[in-house]
Amino acid sequence: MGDKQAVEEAESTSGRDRLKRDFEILSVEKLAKSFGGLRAVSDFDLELKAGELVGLIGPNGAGKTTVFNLLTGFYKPTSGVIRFAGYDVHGMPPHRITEYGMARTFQNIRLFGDMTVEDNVKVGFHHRTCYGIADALLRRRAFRDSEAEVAQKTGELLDLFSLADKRGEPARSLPYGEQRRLEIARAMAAGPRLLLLDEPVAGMNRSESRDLMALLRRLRVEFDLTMLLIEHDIKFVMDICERIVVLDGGEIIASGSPAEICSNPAVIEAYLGSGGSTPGGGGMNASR
Amino acid sequence: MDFFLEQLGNGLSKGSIFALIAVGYTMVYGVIRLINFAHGEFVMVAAFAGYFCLGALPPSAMPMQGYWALGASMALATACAVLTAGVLAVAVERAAYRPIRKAGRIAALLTAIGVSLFLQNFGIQVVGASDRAFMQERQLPRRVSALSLYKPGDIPPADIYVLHEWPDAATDLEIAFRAGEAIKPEDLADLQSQGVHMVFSLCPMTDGLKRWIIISALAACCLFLHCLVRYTAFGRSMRAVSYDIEGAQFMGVNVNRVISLTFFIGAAIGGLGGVLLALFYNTLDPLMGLIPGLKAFIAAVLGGIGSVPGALLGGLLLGVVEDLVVAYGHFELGSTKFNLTTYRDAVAYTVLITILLLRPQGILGRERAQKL
Amino acid sequence: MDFAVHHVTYVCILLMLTGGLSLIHGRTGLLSIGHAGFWAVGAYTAGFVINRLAPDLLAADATAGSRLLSVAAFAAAVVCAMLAASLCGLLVGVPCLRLRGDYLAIATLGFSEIIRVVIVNAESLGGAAGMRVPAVVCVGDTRRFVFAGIAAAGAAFSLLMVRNLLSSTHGRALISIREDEVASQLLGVNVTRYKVVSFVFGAALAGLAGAVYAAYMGYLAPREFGFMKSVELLLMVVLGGIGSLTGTVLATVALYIIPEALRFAEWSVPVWSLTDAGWRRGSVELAELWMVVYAIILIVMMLLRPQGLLGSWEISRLWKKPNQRPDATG
Repeated sequence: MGDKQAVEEAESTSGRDRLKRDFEILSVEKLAKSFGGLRAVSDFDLELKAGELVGLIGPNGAGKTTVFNLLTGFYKPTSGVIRFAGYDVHGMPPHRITEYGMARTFQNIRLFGDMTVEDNVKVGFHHRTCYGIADALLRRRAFRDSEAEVAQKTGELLDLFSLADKRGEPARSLPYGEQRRLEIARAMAAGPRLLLLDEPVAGMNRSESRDLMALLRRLRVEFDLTMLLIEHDIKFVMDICERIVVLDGGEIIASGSPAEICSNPAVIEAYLGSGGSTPGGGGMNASR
Repeated sequence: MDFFLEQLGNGLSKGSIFALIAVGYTMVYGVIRLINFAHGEFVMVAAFAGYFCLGALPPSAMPMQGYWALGASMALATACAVLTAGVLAVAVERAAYRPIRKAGRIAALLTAIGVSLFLQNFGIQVVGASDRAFMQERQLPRRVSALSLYKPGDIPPADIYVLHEWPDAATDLEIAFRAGEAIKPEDLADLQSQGVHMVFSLCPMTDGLKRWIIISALAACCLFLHCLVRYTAFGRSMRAVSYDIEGAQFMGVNVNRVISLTFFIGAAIGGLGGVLLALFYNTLDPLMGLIPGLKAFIAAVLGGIGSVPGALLGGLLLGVVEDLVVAYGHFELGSTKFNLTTYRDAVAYTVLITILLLRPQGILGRERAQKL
Repeated sequence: MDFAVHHVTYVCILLMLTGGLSLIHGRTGLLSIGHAGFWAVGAYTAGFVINRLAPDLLAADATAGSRLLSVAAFAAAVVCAMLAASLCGLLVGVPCLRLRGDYLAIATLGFSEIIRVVIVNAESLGGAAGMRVPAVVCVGDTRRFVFAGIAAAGAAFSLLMVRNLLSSTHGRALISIREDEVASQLLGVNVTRYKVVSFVFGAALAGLAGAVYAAYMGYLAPREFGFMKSVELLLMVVLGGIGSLTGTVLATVALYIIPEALRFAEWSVPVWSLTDAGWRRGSVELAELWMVVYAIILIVMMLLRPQGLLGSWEISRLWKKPNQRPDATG
């Protein structure tokens, strides 16, 4: 039942001009998570307007990935409120939150290695496919129509991500950059309004990351996406993001436009200061 | 009350055996997250090693008398069993488990099931499927005395046998006087005329004695394990590997050696459990390791897998619960009669599933946070 | 000839079992070492239903009406067996919500052992002595052919259902759980639900196998459904290829035929055995060594090719082009 509703919603939002620009798609208030006695995230507030592209940065162990895990429902928050697209998604299982239109990629790529490229993307379409198990077993019309539609949409996505000629290959055989692209394609198949990207250009060279930047910009326009991304590559973040939130020790220490962040003394302190943690190295890596 | 204490003692000795076997499961799982399904078969092989060693060097062949001879012979058999199990475990780890350590837990478990099947069926081919008595009467320790001490009309409390030569294990028992019957003068004269000077009586293995042996073996093992894990360099490396195998490697721990040694110690203690198992039921066969092995695994899960004190606690608890259910399992509820006494084996599995559902980390185990 | 027909029937029954297990273990990645338990539930449910509905309907003077009634009783037994087994699948599937990997394996083993202990202790199911199942559907010379047909139809049905499920979005969801449970969850797959679906589906097919087995054999013994049977079934799935239905079918047939062929061949090999008096040389038939060989195959398989002989290759690849354009399929 929930499936159907979510499908309709996802459908209605993919029509690109229906969303108002200032619609608040995500609002997080006083979010906190502690593991035992360790406070990984505390007092985290965030508001995302539809269509925004926001970067989440911070030294290692700042709690960035924990925030993603909380937003997607993988971790249950200790306290706080998460409202997504007008719904209170606090405490919902991850697959339900995905149905409301949130999708993510992972810091260390998590593709379905033995499945083909095509099937990886098709799994993304899973929750938008509305035929039942009985339809599949009996090969009813609903099954055939729906499968044909999924195959067609998968083809379009693969073309968009220039993976069409690799469709039959197992995902684990792709080179690194293509695996990253496939992961984003798979997340796009889930029909998100909000896409969470966890270090999308980690391990890529300059030209690869430039290509990816162009692709993300294009996705954002074509699918009317809101994006939140974690990235260590400061140049990449400064180039692509409109707004940046800086996390350190589980708390927000600064937020604002790239120019403001660059000159913020607290940020410089967090990156170069007393703790000795520098971007990209050292310290306890709790975000992994 | 006596019945209760009897059952409790019985349960505790069975529980001690489970505990000894469970230690091996829990140590191996703690270090490489493998349910070593073949552990029960290590136990079985150890019991057979002990059996053949006991056959070659029975208490009656020891140069001591009475229970000292039993102690000496059992110690030799146990040493043999413990070593065999340890060496076998190290060999199996080296040949079958190490190559697939990175292939995932399911592949490892399937390999372990394969090793278990192999040892069982190979055992059936080598020693036969039928069961044997662990200690035969003629191997029991003997208390020797001179024939001249016996007078006609004496009533011996136990059977008295003829001693032809000493030490002598191989010959069958030849009875001289029966227990509880007055010695007849003509029997005595008959023996003297055959040139018999020495006679002996047997020191039987009573249930009470077995119980003491088993419980003190467990106590000794507890002490040994505690010292090993807390105070030795090996114990430290073992804890390090268990916490983070790669991290330990980077810190200079020889991971392969620690894993081998863990297998050795776990299987050696399991081997001790195997000898005690064979002693307790006085029977052994190639499939003897399967059910106690499973139950010991359940005990390890109950106590919290990965935790050595947990395994010991879980073993004792499972042994006692199982015995009490069987002893008190027939009752009436309203007009319906319940009889659980034949459901002994189901008890352990029910305990397992209950604990997995309610507290998967076990009594003493700690939960690990899932990470991305 | 009769002999061959029996083997065909038996292989078809095994195919229903391994087809379901290949769904649970091969696709969803849930290691179940208690599949024989579902089979036992199906077989005993069917046996019980037939005993209730059709005791001696097919005596020598049976009328057409009672023959028809016995067919109906068999149909009812099949339905009940599948329902009972899937209920058990649901019972086992629910703990999956919390258990992963090897723990789940031990829980399934626990369930199947509990089922066995209950059967051994239940007087109404014949206890340890076993249960007699009255003949249904037909008697006489044609009986074995009729049952070979029923078993073959059952196997074809099972494999078709498994294939249809697997090639749908539900099947892809199942495979994605095996590949990466976390990623699959975060892509909108209700992992819990699909694990239970997998168990219920596999168990229902095992129930079907049980019903056919009960009606065909006419006698059920609890020891047939022990732990060893579960391991044999698992080996068939693992050996053929974790993700390959073709492989499962081939391995099921091969692993059934080989020991039977060895028994037929009566080859003997020298062995040494250890007695109280020392080592002794003797000889044994190769068929009796089969279990040792079985174990060695399993170990070597895991060492050299843990994904199974065929991996995830399917025979349908022979006639399907890999780089098919999607618009051509609609």
